[in-house]
Amino acid sequence: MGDNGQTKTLTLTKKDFVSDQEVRWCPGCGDYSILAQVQKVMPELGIPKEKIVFVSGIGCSSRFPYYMNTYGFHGIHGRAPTLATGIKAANPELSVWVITGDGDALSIGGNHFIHAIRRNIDLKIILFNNRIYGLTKGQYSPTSEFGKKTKSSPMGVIDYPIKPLSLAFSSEATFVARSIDGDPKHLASVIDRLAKHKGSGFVEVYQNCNIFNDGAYEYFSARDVRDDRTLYLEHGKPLIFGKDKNKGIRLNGVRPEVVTIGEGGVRVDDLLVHDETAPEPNLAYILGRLEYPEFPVPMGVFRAVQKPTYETMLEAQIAQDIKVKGPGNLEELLNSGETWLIGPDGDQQPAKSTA
Amino acid sequence: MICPQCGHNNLEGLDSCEACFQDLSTLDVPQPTEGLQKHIMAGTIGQVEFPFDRLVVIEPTDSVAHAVSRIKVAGIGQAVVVEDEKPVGILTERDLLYKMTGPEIDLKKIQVKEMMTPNPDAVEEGDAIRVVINMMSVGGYRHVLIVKDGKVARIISAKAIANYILDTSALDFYSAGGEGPSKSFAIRLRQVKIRHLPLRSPALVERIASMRETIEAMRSTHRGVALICDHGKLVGIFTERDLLKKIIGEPVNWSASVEQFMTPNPAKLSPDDSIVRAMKLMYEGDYRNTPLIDTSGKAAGVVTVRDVITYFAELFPKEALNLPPDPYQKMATPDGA
Repeated sequence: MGDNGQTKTLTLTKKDFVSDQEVRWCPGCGDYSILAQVQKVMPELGIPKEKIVFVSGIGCSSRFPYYMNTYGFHGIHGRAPTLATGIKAANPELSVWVITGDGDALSIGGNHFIHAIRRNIDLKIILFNNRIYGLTKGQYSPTSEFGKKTKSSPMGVIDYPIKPLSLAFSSEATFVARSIDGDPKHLASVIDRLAKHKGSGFVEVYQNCNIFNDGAYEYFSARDVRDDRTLYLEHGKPLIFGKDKNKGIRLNGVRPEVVTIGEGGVRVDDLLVHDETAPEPNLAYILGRLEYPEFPVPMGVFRAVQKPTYETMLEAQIAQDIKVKGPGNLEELLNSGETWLIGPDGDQQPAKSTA
Repeated sequence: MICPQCGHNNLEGLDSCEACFQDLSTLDVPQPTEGLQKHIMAGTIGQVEFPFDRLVVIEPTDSVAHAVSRIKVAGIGQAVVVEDEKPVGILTERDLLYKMTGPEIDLKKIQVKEMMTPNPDAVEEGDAIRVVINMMSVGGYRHVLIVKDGKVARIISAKAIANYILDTSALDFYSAGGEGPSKSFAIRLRQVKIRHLPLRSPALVERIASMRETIEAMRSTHRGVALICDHGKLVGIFTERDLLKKIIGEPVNWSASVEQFMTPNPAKLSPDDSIVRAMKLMYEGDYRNTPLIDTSGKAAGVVTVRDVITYFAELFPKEALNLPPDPYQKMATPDGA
């Protein structure tokens, strides 16, 4: 039908982003919710399918590119940010997404992860954090809780877990957010924000592995306790939470504390006001480390600032160099020195430029 | 993971019990337990009563004008498009909202296949309720086709599912001697307030706005209902059903104000009312959308039957939210290690 002046059609729908591949996650896995929300957000971005690439590493979450009807790359373990960096640098027009997990990004791929983030190259990184190795059947991961008993820690984990948000802040991330599989509306809003950010964006998604780490986040996210134990971050608004919206976060010096509005003279004006655009990530760092039961678990966008991106600066440098030295010639470059011709009698002579 | 045979506490995800070798692999996938969880897992679509759903079947080459008149006569909001006895699409109020750009369009000249949503998802009567809850909350559908031997048999609405939940929960609530988990869940459900639902921001329109502006507001906010206000105070609602009944195919000037076409003084609720009250009102009044007002009468939002269904999907993430496209799929070969 199209735009013939009479009628109007939406260009793409969610179904356009669903591939024909059999989805092979376990029934009940939180990955289904994340996939559904990504597929829901995609058509709303107005980006043609052929301009979108999903890159992954290894793990359950890394099967994601198969299920998206876009370009995709099921990469090597931990190297998804690296492959994605190459894709974005070579073709900055593409919308490049990285799908990774707590093992893939924080264990084997820790180095690749932090360097992709600090470069501020325009990648959309979604980390599915289920605090377990699911694909290899239940060993502890870098985000598994201290003391957790798993197949590889039968007496309890004695590693201290990585906090992915803290790592992202200290890697100078320009966009940091968190959401959870069980809250699809919130998840979709965060993915939408990630998609629209220009620069390295990082979203940690708390995800339930119903086989090897079932109920990992139920303590704060189960539907009937969620409102009391979750702090939804909203830019420019005081940090209020609770079913009755009567609790808040206040800073006492540099220490956060939970207060009840109206008790002990506490007013809304006393509460910390969320500023995702703060030049320094110090407050966001404090919020990123709040944990239940001392605090509610913060969800939403912690940080969203603008800085020149790697690929735009790279393009500018290339354009500048072409302006000064001309467009260049690969063959000439290869023969520009330190090359020799071997004569029929084995003599070596410096090669002459063919240009 | 407690072994059902010997009671040994195994690590999560083990295929067999370390103490007695009992097969534990079936424990990994959700099983029906009690209360609403059991009703949505073990209950099938065939058990749901269909108080308001009639089926209008059209063909892809029918004109939209013909389809619209048949939908209007039936008093419903959608028609199923069938070719060679197989469902190939569904034409809903939502399609008309998005695809009708103005009153100048001659619906007699447009074929249904140009406006319908193609390849609708379908279920069978033996499918579990949770499958439909999943499709409605994740897919955003308000109606799902029920097929039998590949042919369209019936259509199930979100309202019918909400009624099923209400009925089964009421049964648990009043069941004889019920002090168990089912009853306590039914009691807790009565304490959930509307503002705890995953409500979406409404389309707000002033009463003097034109029909065209109202439709544009509904489109841009992806809502099937607009709250019509007088300086913020709720005076009426305009829904997709109003669009279908009063605007589509009628000689209406889209520059006319929405006030003439809205439903004035609609039934209203407060965000502090219970979810059960909202479900009852939707059932008794046959509403899909109920506006919410604050204590001063200002429009505070809208609760839709889809918000209710999504709440229940979130309540049971493993059972209803996170289902494979084929909910009963069994892998032919194990994946991974």
